[in-house]
Amino acid sequence: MTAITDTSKTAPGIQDGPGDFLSRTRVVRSPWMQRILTFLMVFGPGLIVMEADNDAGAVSTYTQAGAQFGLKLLWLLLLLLPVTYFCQEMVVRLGIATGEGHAALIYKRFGRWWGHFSLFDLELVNFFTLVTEFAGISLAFAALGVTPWVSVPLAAVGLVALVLTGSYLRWERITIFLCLLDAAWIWLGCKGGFSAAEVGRATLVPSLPLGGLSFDYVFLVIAIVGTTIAPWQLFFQQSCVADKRLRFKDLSASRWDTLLGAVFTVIVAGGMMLAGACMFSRHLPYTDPAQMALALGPRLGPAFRSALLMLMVNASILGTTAVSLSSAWAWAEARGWDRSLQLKFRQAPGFYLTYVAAVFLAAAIVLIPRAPLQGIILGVQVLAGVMLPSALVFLQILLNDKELLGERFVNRPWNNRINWTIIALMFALSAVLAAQALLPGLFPTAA
Amino acid sequence: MTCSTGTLDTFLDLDAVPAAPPGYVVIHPLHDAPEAKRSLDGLGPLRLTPVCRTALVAVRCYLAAIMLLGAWRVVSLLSNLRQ
Repeated sequence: MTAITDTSKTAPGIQDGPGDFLSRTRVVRSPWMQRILTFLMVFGPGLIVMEADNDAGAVSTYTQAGAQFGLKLLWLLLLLLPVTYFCQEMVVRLGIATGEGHAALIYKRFGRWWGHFSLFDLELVNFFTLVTEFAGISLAFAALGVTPWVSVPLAAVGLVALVLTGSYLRWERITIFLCLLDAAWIWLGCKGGFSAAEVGRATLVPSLPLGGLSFDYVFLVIAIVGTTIAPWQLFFQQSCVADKRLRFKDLSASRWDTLLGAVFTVIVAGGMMLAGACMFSRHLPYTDPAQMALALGPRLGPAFRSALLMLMVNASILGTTAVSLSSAWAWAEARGWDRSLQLKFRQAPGFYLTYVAAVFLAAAIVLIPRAPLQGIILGVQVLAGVMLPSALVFLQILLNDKELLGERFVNRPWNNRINWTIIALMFALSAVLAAQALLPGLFPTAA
Repeated sequence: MTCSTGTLDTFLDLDAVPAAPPGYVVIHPLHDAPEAKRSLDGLGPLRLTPVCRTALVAVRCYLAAIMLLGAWRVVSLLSNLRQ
């Protein structure tokens, strides 16, 4: 049996370090236990960045996919795994090698023009995304009978309190807990009564809906793949890795964290699609996730209805904290301000004020009566379509910068082959999404 | 002789103390000493491979195309408003 020992009692010269039970310095007798404990200490940024992408917009897209096409789009989720993993693995390497955030690196290696372009585009698209997250919170609570005038300000205050504790670990643990709550989507998906064989077949074998290939189907495929990687994710994870001060030796554990996060996220997305498929199998019309909860409540029980609405809130909360932090980290990096969740408010006022401003402004816009939410959603699509290809190309160029990264962290030829393929795919999908948003008449039969 | 006896005593004493178990130290990254990262100071200008240079040109063309699309959208919206 492997023993875990407090270092202060047994290892001469090693002091009992700061931290609680989970983060305290230890000496273990087996290299396996060392790897497991190291992984648990490194674990966090990968899961959070992946699961936070299952935000309000994702809930809407996946449930709509299920409601419109049943299980016919489940196979697509398997494609998301390598795409998300390989993109995020690159920022992990960059963050660990340099200890710098993504915005800081773009400024330092590409110059002020591209730095300003990336930063302002990121801040704008992040802000619009935040508005959609708060719209999700408002919608879900309204379906639960709580007025937006109570739910939205309370959520904003809670989100600010979450980061103002001056402890990275506290923020990370609460956020990991919220991520794990999303596993309840699997339970919701199981309520649809689909057999495991049916789900397995739909996941492994791509198939077309009954009516054949339609523009609706194609555009939903594009929307799902095109929004798999959001620009904020690249900035968020690299800054998070830098804030957590991950070391060179943590690279392997951090890759596992990212891979597990991607797997968990895809499973949760499958749960969302299966929950949406409950509408399809009952021939119910779909408008949005809140309407879906109300429509399925009388058929699948009040627990299903409340769980779906609360999970919608959870998705929005996760999305909001991650997106706001990516804005705050990027802005502070560009301005050269102190930035860390380990710092108190008075030690990093600019960083925290950026976060607070982003959260409260987005919340305020949602509270404006007849706010142009549809236009804001359109703005998110267009700006993400503008920014993502350039962000991915910058990332790939940085990962080929031997002078910056050295032989250990630079891309290998096989990395480059996979990543250029992914970038070409995302380029094409982003272009179609942006063109669809800017020229709706271009694809007349699209949804 | 006294010297060697002292050495022997010391040796025996040390032998009597239970040795610290051999082990692997696990330190949380936030509690570890900061490590020297790859330095960004003094780096020369970014050297681009031919593929990277082509990708950067593609980004510029893409951005120009999106801006043209946006401008087209604004113009068509304005003309619709006039009508």
